[in-house]
Amino acid sequence: MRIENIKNICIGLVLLTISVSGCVKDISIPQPDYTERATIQCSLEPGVVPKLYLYKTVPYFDVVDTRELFIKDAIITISTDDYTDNLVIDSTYNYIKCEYEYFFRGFFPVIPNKKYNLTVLSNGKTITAATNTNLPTVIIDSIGYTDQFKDIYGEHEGVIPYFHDIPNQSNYYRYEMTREVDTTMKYREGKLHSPCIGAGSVTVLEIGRSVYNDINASGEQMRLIIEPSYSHKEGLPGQIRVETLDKVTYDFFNQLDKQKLGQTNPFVEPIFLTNGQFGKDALGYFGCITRSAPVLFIFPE
Amino acid sequence: MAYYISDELKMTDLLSVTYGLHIPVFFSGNKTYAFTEPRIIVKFSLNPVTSIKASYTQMNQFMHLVPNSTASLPTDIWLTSNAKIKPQNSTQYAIGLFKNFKNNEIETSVELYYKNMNNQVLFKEGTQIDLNTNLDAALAFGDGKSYGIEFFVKKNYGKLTGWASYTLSKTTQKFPDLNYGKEFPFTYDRRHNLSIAGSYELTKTWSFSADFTFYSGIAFTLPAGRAFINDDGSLYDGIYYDYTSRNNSRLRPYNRLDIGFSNVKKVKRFGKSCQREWAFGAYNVYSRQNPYFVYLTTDPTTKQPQAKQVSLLPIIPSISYNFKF
Repeated sequence: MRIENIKNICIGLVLLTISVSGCVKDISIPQPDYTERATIQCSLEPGVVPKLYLYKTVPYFDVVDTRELFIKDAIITISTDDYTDNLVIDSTYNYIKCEYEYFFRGFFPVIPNKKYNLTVLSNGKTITAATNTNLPTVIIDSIGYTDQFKDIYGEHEGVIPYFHDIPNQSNYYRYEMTREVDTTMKYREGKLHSPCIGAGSVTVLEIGRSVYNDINASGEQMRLIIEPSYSHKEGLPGQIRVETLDKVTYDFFNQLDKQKLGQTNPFVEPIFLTNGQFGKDALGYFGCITRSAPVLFIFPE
Repeated sequence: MAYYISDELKMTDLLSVTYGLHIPVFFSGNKTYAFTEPRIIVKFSLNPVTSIKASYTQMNQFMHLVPNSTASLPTDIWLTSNAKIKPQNSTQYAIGLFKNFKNNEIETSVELYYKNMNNQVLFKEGTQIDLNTNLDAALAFGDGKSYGIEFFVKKNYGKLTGWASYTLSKTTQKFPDLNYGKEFPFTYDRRHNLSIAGSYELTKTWSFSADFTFYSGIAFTLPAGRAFINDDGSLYDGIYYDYTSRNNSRLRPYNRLDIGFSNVKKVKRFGKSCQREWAFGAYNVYSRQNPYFVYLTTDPTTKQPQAKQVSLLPIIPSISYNFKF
């Protein structure tokens, strides 16, 4: 008998037994020992001023408002041999969440093919990392569309950018689309609720959930089949880009992608977020990203 | 297929040695495993009712229990050994003191043991078993150890008979590819395990019996921290789990009392002497909600994590009729 069949039988028996005699109740579980640390997210993009998200992690069962997790009192610098950029707090208004999102912003656009050093002074700790801004960009060949494809999350529509891999080096890619959405559309599985949008629309940046590498595809045409975050309307335009990531950024988002699956699927073994560039004091990445030229995509019906 | 030879050698009136060799042979596809497993038990009698036993045992096992480490559905999988999955092997050392009282009416023992285990198997982080899973690539291999002390007492005769056992033990595993290479508790590591079973003869026909079980909850992996990730409103946005160690939390302890009354009578049916028995019982008599599994969820209003426990089988009364002829 196949494992899938055994699994389905097991699930069926468990659900049947639970429905007949089971009892579900909230319980309190002792909080495991935990030392708070920082999460740092920063991808330098040539030609763009640096943007860095800095949050603190919290014990799992602590009651907190996620808006309180942003670390405001950090001192952050990003430097090359030529200059030092002292980052300051900035914010954008997220019309979907109806709240301000805070981040640290630099002043000088990132220069390509440079080595950059990051220093974060926070909570009495100094966290450092380095990256190079020497990533190439790809050119999108074409954009395809399928009204149905199946991945490990289920069946979805899919947007499919085609492009050629950069040969003879390890590359990592991700998809993004910029477009307008309004409250008549769905976000993930639910209706898009946002009193801040009103009857109008808002520009959103959708970043693909999965990251890809070019193992066994060096120099070949690649395609990324992406589930859009929002539902679409016929004729709606979107600007699609393919991001080239460095390895540290790829590794971090690859872990997030796998862990997200484990959070929603009880049959998936947990993914531990490993200490990366920052050691045990912080999670995250300080890397580089480039974006292809945008290609216009019109949603078909 | 297995071969086994054993012999008992009485060295003196007080000292005896039982030694043997077990040779299991296991075929799996093109791969054949054969082992020699020596075992020896040395018994030293201190007096007619007291003895000390020490043993050394090597064992191999060709089935591997691969438990899930999440707090969710208990979906353990058994795998057989093959070319990639080597048989588990263990070496166990034990020493015990055995003493009887009241003309062997009461038996008691206390035993210490230590066991080393190799070629243990678990799933790698992030493994999702489905139809297309290459199991060989999804497995991680490591070692384990277990040690503990067992107490046992048994009453053989009289109106009241029964036994009680208590084990204090610890079982851990260590895998290079899991838990940052650090040691962690085995899923079924149970620190305390207590069982009491008794039967009391109320009258010549009626008897009462009770079984009580208590053991520590199994281990599962609970996130220790939450990490908030924000990436321009993308699908990555959200709360992620910061795990610090594997199997770092426990289900609540399990305990249960079962009771039963039995009425046995000799009767005549169809001209023959027969025995009939009415049995009245109750499983989980105080209807304890023992944990079956725990899962984590997020409160839709407060957006805070919650743990939910699923329990099965409350009190279940039973009645049965047995007829022997």
